[in-house]
Amino acid sequence: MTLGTAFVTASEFVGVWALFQRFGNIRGWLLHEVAFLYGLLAVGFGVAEAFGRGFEHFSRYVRLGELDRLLLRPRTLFVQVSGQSFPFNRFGRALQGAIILGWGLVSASLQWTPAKGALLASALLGAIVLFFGLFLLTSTITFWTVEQLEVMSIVTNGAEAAGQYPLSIYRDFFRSFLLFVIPVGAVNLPAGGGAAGQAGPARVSGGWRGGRRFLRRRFWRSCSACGAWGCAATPPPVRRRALRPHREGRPWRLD
Amino acid sequence: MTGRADAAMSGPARAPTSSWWRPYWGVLRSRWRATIAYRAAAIAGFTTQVFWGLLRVMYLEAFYLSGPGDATDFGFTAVLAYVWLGQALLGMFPLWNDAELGGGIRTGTIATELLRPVDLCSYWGWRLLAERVARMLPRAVLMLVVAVVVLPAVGLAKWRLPAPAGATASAMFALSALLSLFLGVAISMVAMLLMFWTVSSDGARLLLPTVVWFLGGLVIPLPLLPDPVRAVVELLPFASCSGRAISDLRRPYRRHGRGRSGGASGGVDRRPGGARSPLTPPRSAPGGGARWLSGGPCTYGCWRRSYAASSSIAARSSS
Repeated sequence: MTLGTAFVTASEFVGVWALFQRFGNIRGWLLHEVAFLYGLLAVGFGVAEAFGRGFEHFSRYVRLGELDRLLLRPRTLFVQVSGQSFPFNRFGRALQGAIILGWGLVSASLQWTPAKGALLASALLGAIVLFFGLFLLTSTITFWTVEQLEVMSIVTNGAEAAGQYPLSIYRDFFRSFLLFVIPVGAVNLPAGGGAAGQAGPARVSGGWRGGRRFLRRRFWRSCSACGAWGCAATPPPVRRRALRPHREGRPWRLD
Repeated sequence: MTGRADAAMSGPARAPTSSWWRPYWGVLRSRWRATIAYRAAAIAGFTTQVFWGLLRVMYLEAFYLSGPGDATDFGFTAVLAYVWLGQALLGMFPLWNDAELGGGIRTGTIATELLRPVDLCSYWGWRLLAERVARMLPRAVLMLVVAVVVLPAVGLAKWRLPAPAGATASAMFALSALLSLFLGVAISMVAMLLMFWTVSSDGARLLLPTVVWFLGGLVIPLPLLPDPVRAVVELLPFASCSGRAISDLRRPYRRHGRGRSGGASGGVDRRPGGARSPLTPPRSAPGGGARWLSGGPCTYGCWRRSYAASSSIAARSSS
């Protein structure tokens, strides 16, 4: 069953592969680089889905009043709900994601350093936590809506699908959506940019100043591991404000 | 018995006829009403579909902008039509099966259903048909409004649904969409009938959506698959669920679509080394004679192609 799920979910990647067969690259990103992003998010989604499966049935607890019974028990609600079911076959998605992730990493022929390993591990952990959090979020909405809304699949499945591709391919409004509303960009961006050895935040966030500034502050400067990934080829402009010549007309630009 | 009872109640006071179709008509109407009642669900599903459509358009556009678009005879305008019409018609794909229908096989209530004085297969078929139509129609209308009116209004005119090739193409599209609807119902029926042997519906429930999703051209447009794969996939019935209908709506449209390279097009439409961006509409090209004859198994696409070719030739000779 696990293998079956792996096979089924891998059909998405077959689609990505077919598009790369046609077009060769997407905005300069090659197949193995996109495979890395795909694998990262698939592993995160699969593992989070396996652990957070109980939240998918959360609307039932709310509707039927079973939640009251759970609340009476002397353990936290979180543990009880997430432990309601643990479908092992959900690891199928994680399994195929891991295989694709591994292939992407091998064909990227990286120079492995401890920092890179740490970044990869933290990216995986971040993806798992992110999707787990999204599942939790979408399930708690049922307190108000009672029914599980189909719209919420945008937040979970949509985030996974959108994060498979580098953020640089999207339009500004969609990119900000992926950064601030569903923060999937926070996982895919530093790790992907570092792993692929290209598309530092300056390029990834294109002409969008707010996002650029935000990213530079949040991720780039604070994430020294990024340099270790090979991003050093395009070093982040660390400017000191005192040395920077005053530019007229744009006093609000702080970077 | 619901179908028959419903039909008897809702119709004007007529003598109970023995027409064979009355129960099925009743089923159709009652399922339509039941499905159409969930407006919130329809709106939610619609929002989701707009999101997926936008996502798909965005990454396909990125592919078209970055790769040699020459690799395909399927231009970006065709992709737009494919994505938006695919989203509009999503409800009629055999993706969701009514758990109520097949579930009876496992629990045994199927015995009751078999006792009904209606043909079980037809009963299921009409029921599925009504659900599909009821799920599809409101979303299709809304989706067309979004793709034609709203997208240009918010400044995304580049992504709007391109106009159809003409009245004939539209009519033929409607016809083939109708046939696709029946095909989708038939595929669902086969999946449900399999449950008489497998009893558990888990396998079909897991596998069918994936197969349809991929082979029906919902993951990526079928014309963008690698050619050998595409040749096989287009022979399968899933490709006709609506992928064929949608891709044929645009493909033969030579004046705005992209002509096929080579063949009898006389070099007019040959683009040297992909000089033109795949996103710019190419110049008009006369239809390539009998090129469509080698196009493999197709039904109305061939017809459309010959129509497009002859009309463009006529337009040329008259001008």
